[in-house]
Amino acid sequence: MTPLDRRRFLKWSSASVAALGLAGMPRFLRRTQAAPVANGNKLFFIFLRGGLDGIQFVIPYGDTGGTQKTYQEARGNIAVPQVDAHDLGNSFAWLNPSCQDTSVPDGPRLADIFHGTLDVASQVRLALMHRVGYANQNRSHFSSQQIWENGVPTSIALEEGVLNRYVTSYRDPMSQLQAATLATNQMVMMKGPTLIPVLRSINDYALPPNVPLGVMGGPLGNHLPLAYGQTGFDPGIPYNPETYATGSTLLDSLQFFEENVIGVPYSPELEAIPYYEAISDRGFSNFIKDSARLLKQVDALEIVGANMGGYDTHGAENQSFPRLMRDLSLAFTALFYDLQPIWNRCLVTTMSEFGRTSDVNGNSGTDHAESTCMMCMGESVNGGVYNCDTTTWSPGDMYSTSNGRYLAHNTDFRNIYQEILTKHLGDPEGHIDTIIPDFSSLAAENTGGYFTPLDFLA
Amino acid sequence: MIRPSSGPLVRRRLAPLVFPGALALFLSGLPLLAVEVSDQLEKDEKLPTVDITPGPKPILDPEPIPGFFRKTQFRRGDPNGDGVVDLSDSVCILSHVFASKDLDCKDAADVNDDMVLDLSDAVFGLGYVFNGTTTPPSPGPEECGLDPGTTNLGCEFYPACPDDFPLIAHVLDRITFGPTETLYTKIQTRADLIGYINDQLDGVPADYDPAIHEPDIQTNIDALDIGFGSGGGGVQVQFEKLKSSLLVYAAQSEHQLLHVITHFFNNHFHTQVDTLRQNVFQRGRVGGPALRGNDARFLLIDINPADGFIDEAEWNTLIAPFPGALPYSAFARQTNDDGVISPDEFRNRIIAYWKYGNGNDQGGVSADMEKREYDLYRRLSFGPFRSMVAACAKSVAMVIYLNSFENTVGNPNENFGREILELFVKGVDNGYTQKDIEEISKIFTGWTLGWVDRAPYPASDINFQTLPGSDVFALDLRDPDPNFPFPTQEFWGDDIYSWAFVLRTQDHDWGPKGLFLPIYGGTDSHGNPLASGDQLILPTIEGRAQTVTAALAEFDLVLEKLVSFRDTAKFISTKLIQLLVTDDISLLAKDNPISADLLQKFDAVDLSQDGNLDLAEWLTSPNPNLPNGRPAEKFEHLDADGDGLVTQLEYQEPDLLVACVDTWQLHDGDIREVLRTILFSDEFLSLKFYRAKVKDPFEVTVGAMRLLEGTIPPDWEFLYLLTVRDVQSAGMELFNFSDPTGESELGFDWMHTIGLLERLKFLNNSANPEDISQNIFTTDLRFLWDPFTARTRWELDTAERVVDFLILLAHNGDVLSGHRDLAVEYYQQAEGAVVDSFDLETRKFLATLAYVLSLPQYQKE
Repeated sequence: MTPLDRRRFLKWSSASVAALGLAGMPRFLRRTQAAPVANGNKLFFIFLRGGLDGIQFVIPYGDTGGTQKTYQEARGNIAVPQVDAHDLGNSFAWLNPSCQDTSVPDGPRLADIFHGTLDVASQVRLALMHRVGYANQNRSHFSSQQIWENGVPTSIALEEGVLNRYVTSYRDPMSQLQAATLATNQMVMMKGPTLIPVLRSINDYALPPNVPLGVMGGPLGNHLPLAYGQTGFDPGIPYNPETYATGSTLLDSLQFFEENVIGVPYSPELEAIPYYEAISDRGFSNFIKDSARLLKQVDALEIVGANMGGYDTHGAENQSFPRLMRDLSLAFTALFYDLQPIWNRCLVTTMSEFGRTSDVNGNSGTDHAESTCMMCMGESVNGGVYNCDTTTWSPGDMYSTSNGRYLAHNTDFRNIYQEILTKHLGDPEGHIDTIIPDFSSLAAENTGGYFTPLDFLA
Repeated sequence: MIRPSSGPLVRRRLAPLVFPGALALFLSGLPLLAVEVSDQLEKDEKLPTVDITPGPKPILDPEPIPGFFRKTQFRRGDPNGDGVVDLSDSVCILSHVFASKDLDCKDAADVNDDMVLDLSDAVFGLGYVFNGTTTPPSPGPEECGLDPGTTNLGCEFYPACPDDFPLIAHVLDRITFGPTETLYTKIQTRADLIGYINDQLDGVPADYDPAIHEPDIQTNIDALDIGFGSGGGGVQVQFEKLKSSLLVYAAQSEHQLLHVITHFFNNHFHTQVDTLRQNVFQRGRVGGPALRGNDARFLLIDINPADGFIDEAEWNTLIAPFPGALPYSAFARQTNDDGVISPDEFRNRIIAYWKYGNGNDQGGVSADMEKREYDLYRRLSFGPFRSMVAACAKSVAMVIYLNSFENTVGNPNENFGREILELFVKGVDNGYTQKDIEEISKIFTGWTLGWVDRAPYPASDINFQTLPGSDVFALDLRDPDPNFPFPTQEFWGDDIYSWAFVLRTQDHDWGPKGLFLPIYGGTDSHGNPLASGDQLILPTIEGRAQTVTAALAEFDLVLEKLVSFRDTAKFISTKLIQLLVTDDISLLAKDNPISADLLQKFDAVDLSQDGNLDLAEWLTSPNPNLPNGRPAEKFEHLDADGDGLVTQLEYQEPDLLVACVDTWQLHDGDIREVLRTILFSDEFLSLKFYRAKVKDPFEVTVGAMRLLEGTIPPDWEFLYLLTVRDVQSAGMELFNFSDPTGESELGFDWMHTIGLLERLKFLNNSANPEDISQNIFTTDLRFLWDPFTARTRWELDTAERVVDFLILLAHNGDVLSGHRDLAVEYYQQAEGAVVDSFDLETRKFLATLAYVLSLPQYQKE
């Protein structure tokens, strides 16, 4: 944990006062705020905490090694036999076999989404983007997660997320729930000037029945909102604005949930249920199931974020990684089915703070390294494998970083974000620097080709 | 009416605001000419500057507010409260005696302290004023204080003495897990507070052991039954029991600061219990042979009769202490089965197996390791930091959690090497590089966990070199054989067997190692190169010198080197300041001049000599010991206001941080002394950072238990588990947090909607104690407490008295007046809202308590 520096504090404080301004404002006045540019599209992202082993996820069997080791040689006792993996069709990349888990007998699997062979009316598309990272990769979990979430690699301490900046830019005055996090804590990606509700589960996001909280709808119903709606406090003391604004946001959102979500009959799409049930991590399963529900039930909801942990596979990777791949693939399949009613508006994506060493370590695991893989699913996705073919991957590239130990990145993660923000969420041209600082100049310089567009979105 | 604001309740006033530095910067553009203030500015109001110079003063007309358990300081002989004893005070007394004028502070009028207000008091006062022949008894006319007697006439309001209550509440919020009415009653003045701080620092017995010094706590800990073979419930219940032990210590111990600091270091050196479990029991390992017979054990068993043979009855005595012991029949089948076991048949044969085939036992093993680690930190947290680093590095929980047990020569695992530098000792990127991580990881190769026959070793030993007559079992957790030797809880008593930190010599890297070499390009927290004296070069260890002792010497040497860095002192001190004073250390004062050493480094970079560093200077200033240059990230870190320049003031460290580092260096990293520096600093022992932190979920829940003096009987441990689940629901995982960073010590990380909702739910439950007299319990119950005593004792018979009492107790009387009004209204309207078996007034009291605890101020400290 780095010490809190002044910049971090200032950013956070000003953000909070902005939040306070909104929270303390009568609701009708909020609706006179700047009109949104939202195009109605929705984004669901899953942050894979711990550092996804991209090489084990999308396996580069096509790398002949050159003077270096091949995948099989590098991975030794944790190498996946090529015969077990799923051919992604470009004669270079194969999908980890655990992504093709058969927990749902006869049901479609992740590769079916990739190949678009599902028998459903909607188009299905899946992009697997290898070699995503950033220059001067930080190999600390904490630091690199901060960077992936705040979008500013030179400012590890900045507690302001890319997607919060988006929501703040396009705050929809008509929406009381433009973004939400399904987690036990707020993630940096969603921290910032706009207070975004965090909830563990939809059904728990309610006041208890006993006094005094349980009488919100009765004669004393105003007393708690009034307590948090007080404005006569000294904003000069840290955390006062946050405490009051968080309380107001909480109470507003509880009321919203009661009226618009919890009280509305709901069940997931039938085809999705067996996939949700097959996910071994029940907490994760519930997070994504509730995320899909929110995205469907709240029309104005644009962004939902969730976490999936366990990717820090230093030891016995073959014990844990298959389970992670299996659960993640089941989650994507479940989401594909469950989001069908709004599928043409949805994009589902993953991210992770770094990849892992090309060589297996002494205890059948891998350590922190550089580039990782991202996965993106949605109707507007140009499906396919990116950065993992003979044109983007030279023999021996698994050792292409300057220290000769890691897979170097080809694409800066901010490049991916930019496509999502502009093409999917409709961020207009010329505005991106507000959300991803300095993006325009970085893209113009395009040092190392890291900002060459992948065009994975239509 | 002028109403000074030194009473226990806060009122609004209009005042210009003076903001702390950083906030002043960003608020400077806002139209804040005057702001209605009360929630926070009272730190100034509560310590008024009182003019006690002689001369006529206006007689104030204060409005007394009930103090309940708080006493009011006064000067004896000054009943009009103007700060000086003069003729007007005798006139005031006479007005009371002969004209029944009300007095706010009768003790001040009882000048001769005879417990009667009469003419003699006026005469006594006049004698003091004009002749100096009499001196009013303590606290006297010169010093503010309390009546030392056990009985007095009462002093509800006295404006000319400082109200120390806000400071007392502020300090208790930080150095305890929450104030109580008992503590508030005991600590009435600043002097009392100083005494309490000193007692917290120095009053902990050197050999502090809850079992001896706080047996009630030990009873509760024992009732949790943490570890292998305990009552079942599965992995999660085992972990919840472990977490519950934190609640027990925090809620009940008298040595609050010790536990606050232990809690901090346990989180600083975090190990995740579930990862620990998974690492130990991965690959299907479930245990195996655990105990072999030897002559000493034979003699222990062969006691009834002691005839040189063990019979079935004697064998069965093994079962109680060693439940894994084989049944007699199973063992006997390995012998000639003649009905008794001879020493030869007993010797070297396996007599016990241990199996960890279910989650409950695996969880128990992991929880036990964590509990031992926590106990170790508790023993060490007031001592030298180097001891704690050693405890961290050699704790089996850490050895397992961060994969040291898998770190072997030729196949290094960098996990622990990275985190000890980044998280535990130096701080992110402070004076190390990837190369240092690789080199330090070599030093840690081969060290793994094991278990050991404890008896031959001194109690303080955690290294367990092989001693004559002892067995050290180093576990090779890479061994795919599931039947590995593994002890169980029955061996874990310190006097029998213990987990051990041991070396597998064949796995250690005996080659050369070089750390912190300038050529690696590491830079300190100011972006400067390491000094040549910082480096540590270890030569190859050859042949017969490759001993455990030699490997341990390397290990200890690198730990010693790590704790010797100034950046280590700075990193740990910064975190302690963030824990106790403020999250944002940039708000700390920098009144002292910059040190000559730091100034020299600043000037060396300031090529233009304009008193500021810009990025170009930072990146280009020459230094042969910076092969990679100065990191731009550190420039940005130092550039606190983000204007592209690092001023000398930004480059400088806060005075308190410098003082802590100096103390650290003077006292060899002694944490108690660093704490003393912090706790007696102006930054801490003032209201500068009053309510400047957000409590974390643990602090809120334990604080509520303490505030209501709640208890959980030993056989009601399920209530602890429910509270642990509440803390988890609010986002705090305690021992099971997923990252080695530990959970955030920064308040704002805990302020989000789900966290606040779950806290409010807990507080709501806390205020609804259930009617035990009616045998009514629900799942809402969290702890037992008595809602009647305080109401009776303090005659809480009106809405105002109830609210004033609760606000005094929960918020040291300091809330917005609007909040108080809301609470009064709440009490008045609560009748229709409450639905339990208590009488109406109790229900209204409890409902109002829940509301008062739900106010925003309770989330802060």
